[in-house]
Formats: sequence, C-alpha cells, structure tokens
Amino acid sequence: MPPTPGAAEPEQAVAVALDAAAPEEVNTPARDVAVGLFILAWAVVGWISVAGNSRLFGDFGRDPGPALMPVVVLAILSAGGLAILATAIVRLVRGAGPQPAERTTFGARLRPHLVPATLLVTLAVYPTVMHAIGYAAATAVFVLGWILALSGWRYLPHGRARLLAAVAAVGATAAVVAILYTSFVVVIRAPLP
Amino acid sequence: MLDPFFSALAAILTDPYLLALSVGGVVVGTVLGALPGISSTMALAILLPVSFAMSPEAAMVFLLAVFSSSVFGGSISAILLNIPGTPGAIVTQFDGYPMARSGRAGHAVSIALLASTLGGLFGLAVLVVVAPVIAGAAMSFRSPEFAMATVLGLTMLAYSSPGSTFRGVLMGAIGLLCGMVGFDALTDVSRFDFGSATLQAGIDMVPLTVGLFGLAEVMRNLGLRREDVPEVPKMGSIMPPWRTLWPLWKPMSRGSLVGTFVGAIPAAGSAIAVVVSYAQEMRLSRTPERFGKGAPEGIAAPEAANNACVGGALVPMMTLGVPGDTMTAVLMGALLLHGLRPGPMLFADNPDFVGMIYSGLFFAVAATLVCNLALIRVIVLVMRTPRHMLMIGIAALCVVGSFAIRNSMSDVYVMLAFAVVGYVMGLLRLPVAPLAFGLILGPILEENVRRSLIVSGGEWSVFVERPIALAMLLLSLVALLYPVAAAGIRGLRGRKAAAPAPAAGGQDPR
Repeated sequence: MPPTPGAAEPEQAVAVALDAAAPEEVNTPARDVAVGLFILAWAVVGWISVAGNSRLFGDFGRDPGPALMPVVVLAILSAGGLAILATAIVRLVRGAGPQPAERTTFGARLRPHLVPATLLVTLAVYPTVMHAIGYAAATAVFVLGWILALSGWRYLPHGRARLLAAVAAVGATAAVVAILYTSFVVVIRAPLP
Repeated sequence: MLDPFFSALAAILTDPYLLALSVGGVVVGTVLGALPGISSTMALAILLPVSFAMSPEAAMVFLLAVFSSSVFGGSISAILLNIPGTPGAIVTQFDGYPMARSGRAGHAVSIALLASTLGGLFGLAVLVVVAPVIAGAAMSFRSPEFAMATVLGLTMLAYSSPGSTFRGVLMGAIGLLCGMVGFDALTDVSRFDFGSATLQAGIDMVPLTVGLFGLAEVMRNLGLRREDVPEVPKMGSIMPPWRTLWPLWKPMSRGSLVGTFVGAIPAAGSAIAVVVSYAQEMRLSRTPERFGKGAPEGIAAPEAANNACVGGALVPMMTLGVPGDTMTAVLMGALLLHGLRPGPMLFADNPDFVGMIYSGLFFAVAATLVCNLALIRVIVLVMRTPRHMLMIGIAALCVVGSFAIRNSMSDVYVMLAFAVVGYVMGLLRLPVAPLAFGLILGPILEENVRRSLIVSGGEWSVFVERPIALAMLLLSLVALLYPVAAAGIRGLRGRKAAAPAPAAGGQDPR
C-alpha cells in the first residue's frame, strides 16, 4: 500500500511522497561489480575500435580531429567503471553491505528472465516471418500465440473458460493487427510487407 | 509575439489532418497514460516511429498531444486504481483514491481534468511569454556556450534520474559513444563501425529510444508477473457540484504557479512539483487533517502542477536545448530528427514553427478537456484490458514501428539490441534516460566542442573565459559533486552522532 499522509505534517508528507517517487536503492557489492563490468565492457569495445582505426589520428589542421571525443569519453567511462568496480570489490572483500537474505539457486534466479528472453527471440524472428507470409498473418500468429501463452490458456479447464479466453485472445489479436495497420499503412502510409 | 501562435492555431483548426492527429494523439495519450506500467516517456517513445514519416509540424502537434494528455491520463489510474500511471501523478492518489472508494470517482477525475486544463494553459502562457525573452538573451551564444549547455543538460538529466548522478553521467557517456558510431560529420572518418555497413550509417535515435523505453519496459513488465489490473471502481456522476468546484480555483492557481516554475528548472521535474504543491496546500489549509482522506484540494493542486510542468519544461528545451526531463528529451529528439535544432536560433529562423508548438500544446490541452469529458467512461473501460494483451500489442508496435521507419531489418535489430541493453540496465538499477539523451545530444556536443577549439586555436580555456559558458560548466559540476558532498557530510554527521553511543547501533548507517 502506498503511504497515505493523513494528518501528518506537510514536511513529513513531502518526505514520504519523495521516497515513494524515488525509492532509495541499496547497491549490493555484487550488483556493483556487475555495473562496473557493464561499463568497462563498453569502454573495452570502444578502445579496441579506436586502437584499430589509424585514420582517426591523422592530421586535420586546426580541427582537434575525430579522435578527441572518443578518447575523452572512453577515458571517462574507463575511469568511472574502474572506480565502481574497485569500490565494489573492496566492499565485497570486507563483507560490507546488506547480504542477500537467502541463497537462491542459479536456475531460480534465471527463471524471471525466461519470459522476457523468449519474447526477445520471437521478436527477432517476427520481421523475417513478416517478409515471408505478410504483415497481417505474421502479426496475428505472434500476438495470438503470446496472448494465449501468457493467459495460461493451457491450464484452463476445457469448455466455457477456454472458449472465453480464446475468444478474448482472438478479439485482442484482431484489434492489434487493425490498430497497427491503421496507424502505419493508412495514417502515415508506411509500406508493410 | 502572438501572431505566429494565432496563425498556427488557425492552421490546426482548418486542417482536418492536423485536427485528427491532435485529437487522436490526445485519445491515445490519455489511454496510454492511464494504463499502469506505461509512463509518458514510454508513450512518446513507442509513438515516435508513427511520427517519423509526418511533416515536422504534424509530428510536433501529434507528440505534444500525446505528451500533454498522457500526463493527465496518469492521474486516472492514480484515482481509480491507486497506482500512478505516470511519475507526475504520485500524490494524486493520496486523495483521489479515497474519493473514488467513496463513490466519487467521476468527481475526482473531473477535478483532476479541470485542474490539468488550467495548469496546462498557465504553463503554456508562461512558455509563450518567457521563452522569447530567454531565447533573445541566448542569441549571444556561440559554440562554447552551446557545448556547455549540452554538458549542463546531460548532467541535469543524470541528476534527475533515479540512482546516483555519477552513474547517470556514465550512462550519458555510453550514449555519447553510441552517438559517435558512423561517419564523423566534420572529417568523414568512420568510427566504431567494426567494418559493418549498418554501423557506418550510425545508430538512429528512433530504434534506440523505442528499444530502451518501449520494449525493455515491456520485457520488465512481463518478467514481473504482477496480477492483473484490480477492479476499477464505478465512476458515479462525472461533474462535481459547483460549490465543490468553485473554491478550488485557489489551489489550482497555486499548483499551476509551482508546476510551471519547478518544471522550468532542468532536473526538477513533475514528481517534485506535485509534492511541493501538495505540501503547500496542506500547509495553507485550515483543515489539513482532511488530506489523505479525499480532499479535493489534494487533487486540484498537484494536477494543476503536473500539467503546468509541461509548459515549464519546454522553456529550457526550446530556448537553450536543455531538456528538463525524459519526456522533453524525447520531444527534443523528435525535433532534431526533423532537422530542427532547439535553441535561440529556432526562434529567429523558424518563428512559425515555434508558433506551431505553442498552438499544438494549446489545442492539446483543450482537446484533452473536451475528449475526456465526452469519453472518460470509454477510456475507463479500456483500462480493464488485461496487462499481458497490452504488453504484447506494444511489443508488436515496437517491431513494426522500427521496421516502418526505413523499411529496414537493421533498425529492428538495433531496437532489439537496445531493448536488451535497457533490460540489463534495469536489472543493474542504472538510469536509461541519460543514455538516450547522450545519443541525441552527442553530435551537437562534439560539433560545438570542436568548433570552439578550432576558433580558439586549441585553447581549452575558451570554455572558462566566457562567463555564461563558465556558469553552465560550474552548474554542471555542482550537480555532479553535490550528491557526493551531501553524502560525505551526512556520513560525517552520522559518525559524530554514532561516536558517543556506539552501543546504540553497531551497524553501518547505510
């Protein structure tokens, strides 16, 4: 339940509402290690590209050249990433920071990301399918399949409940196909396969 | 000053296409804003591809309608479901939800609607009056000032994003890096292309924004497995009696005032404006104990404030090219996409276009009022759509939209890649807004830094010798260092307080 300020002092209400607006995240050392590595990964990829591009360092007269900004930004990223990583490792070694309440298995931690990852894979295939069988059919298959999967259709008892869920899914699919078609093909005249 | 405004307004009113776009934008924006899980930023991002093929004027009219109405839409779900649809609606639920529970949902929504209209018009009026003055003052801006304004904008957005400013700046740096991919505008040297023709063309802003703010958000929502939308209470009668409405003009005016000025401060944003105006109403009220139990003032003031913020936030964006929040950053991206660079020159070179922005916003505010008075019961019906159907529909929109920009598969893959980046950043609690903004502003920053250095003969002191550039640089440093300094001071105080009584709390205050 969100906090209700009730008869609290205005200052308190402000504090409560601000907390609700921006909940204070506690950065665990383990997550900070990941943050540091995430930032450093961008920096490393960037440095590799800069190092392999000799044209960047040519003579451009008074212009400081195309290498200036990449080098400055990559330096900032590298320093920042290293700083976050180093502090996180120090905290990890010292054992500071809140510890996770219970150890969870790798599989359990991966499970929440299963649906998003599957969605991503189907989305990557979707445009190719669209090219093959056309916009309307591909979109209908994609949307209907996902809606049925997410509504737990498989687990519904046979008969009325399943029928209702199927009708709702088909209706929603038709709506999505129609809305997208109207917005792109009719309104802005973007050609869809 | 008002001539371009009136001629643009006449253009909207006489052009059925613009009229339909604005009204359509208002309906879509209200519905998206009202749906929990879709913020104003996400609404703007997923509709960006739709606006891509339009003329700059039509695109702005459409996006402003979506922006302005989604801010009001956010309060519908705050009132009916106790879930703020947008950050600007966080306090509306304090009094809106109790009102809805007591059978006055329609009244609460109408109060929010009227307050939003008043606030929106007030914010717009201030924008119309103040923006040309600031733009005039900024006419002396040269490359060093523009470069520092960009740095300031990036730091302010990092400051206003959740999490630490430092991390926000680093995300902005990643965005800058993405903005450098492809051919350098000044020398035609290709950078960060890894031999790929797709990367040589650069990373386009639209698929990146759609991926970061649209699809990543859909993935996060589907991963949450939250239960479906709770029961929507009955609306009851829509229009509250006159004796309830009339005394609200004062809270609405105060809210509008607070909203406009807080909104105009980059980095402050609507969430702060609504909290300030709510607290102010409580302080001024003779019966503060009614707040939190369904006081109409508790809806009127913050709702006026969050819509007034729209006009306020457009002031720094249009005049200096410094967006105050994520929504205005996306709008600014849309402007740049159409080859229009916000800043003082926009006012000098394109007064008609500026007039179009004013009148587009004006019409959007008016259309929000009319459409919602007429359609609110239908919009509430749409809110009963199960969340997963909605999310899958948006996922399809993200793909079809990215594809439709240039009929190219590579835009879809760029979108998907940044959806993954956005999803991972969400897991790591990193703000995504600065990344998008870094990409949008990167080319402007680089161009102006290099031009300044060309003119100064390589002297970096050019950025500190000019007072306005120096002031903006210092402001950026303050925004960057303030959280560090504040944390340091808090830590020192905490240590002092803990020192005399170590037994009281052995644990680290963090």
